[in-house]
Amino acid sequence: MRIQILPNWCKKMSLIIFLIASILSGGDDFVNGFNAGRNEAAPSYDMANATDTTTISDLIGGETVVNFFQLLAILALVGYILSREKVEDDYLNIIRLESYQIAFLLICSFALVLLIFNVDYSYGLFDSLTLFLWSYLIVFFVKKRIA
Amino acid sequence: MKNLVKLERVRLDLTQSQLAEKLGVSRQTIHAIERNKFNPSVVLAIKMAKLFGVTVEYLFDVEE
Repeated sequence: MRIQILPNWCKKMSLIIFLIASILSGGDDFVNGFNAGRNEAAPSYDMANATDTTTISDLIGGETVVNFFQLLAILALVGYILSREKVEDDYLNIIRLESYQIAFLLICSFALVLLIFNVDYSYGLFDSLTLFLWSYLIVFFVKKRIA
Repeated sequence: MKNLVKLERVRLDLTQSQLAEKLGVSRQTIHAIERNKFNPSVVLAIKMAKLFGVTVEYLFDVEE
């Protein structure tokens, strides 16, 4: 069964939308994580307190807009997955299937590791989806390049 | 399954991309076939044999 129902140009468009939406929705988390790591490494200089506290969330209009961009990022990745390659053939279908399998195994392994070492961590649907889509994209890209 | 696709492609002085374009498949597919990582479909094998002007049996052979 072929689920690639969108034309090839949707692929580039989806990727651009995904990158923009990811930066806008995940930018604050990235900065917070970076600052936390920096503060841990050099406690004498607390960057989180030293820098301006204006966040991307404030700039683009609050938490609701950030959530919208998160949703948009996932939709864009789904659009990417549903887009056709320039040339579709049996071999690419096999690579695609293998990528789905590896991505699925990766999220299962990740969930298992989290459950074993940190039972309190809530591994939600949103995290699973994002991880699955990212894993699929990276694995498919790498397999296609090394083929 | 071993094959002589690379040999025949070089004989016709074609690159992997040129051969892929003539057969309507991706360059990755040609590469995978030449490296014996992928066995082509019957249709693709016949197309290749016709393009190279040889028989399918000559182009593809089952390793004992």
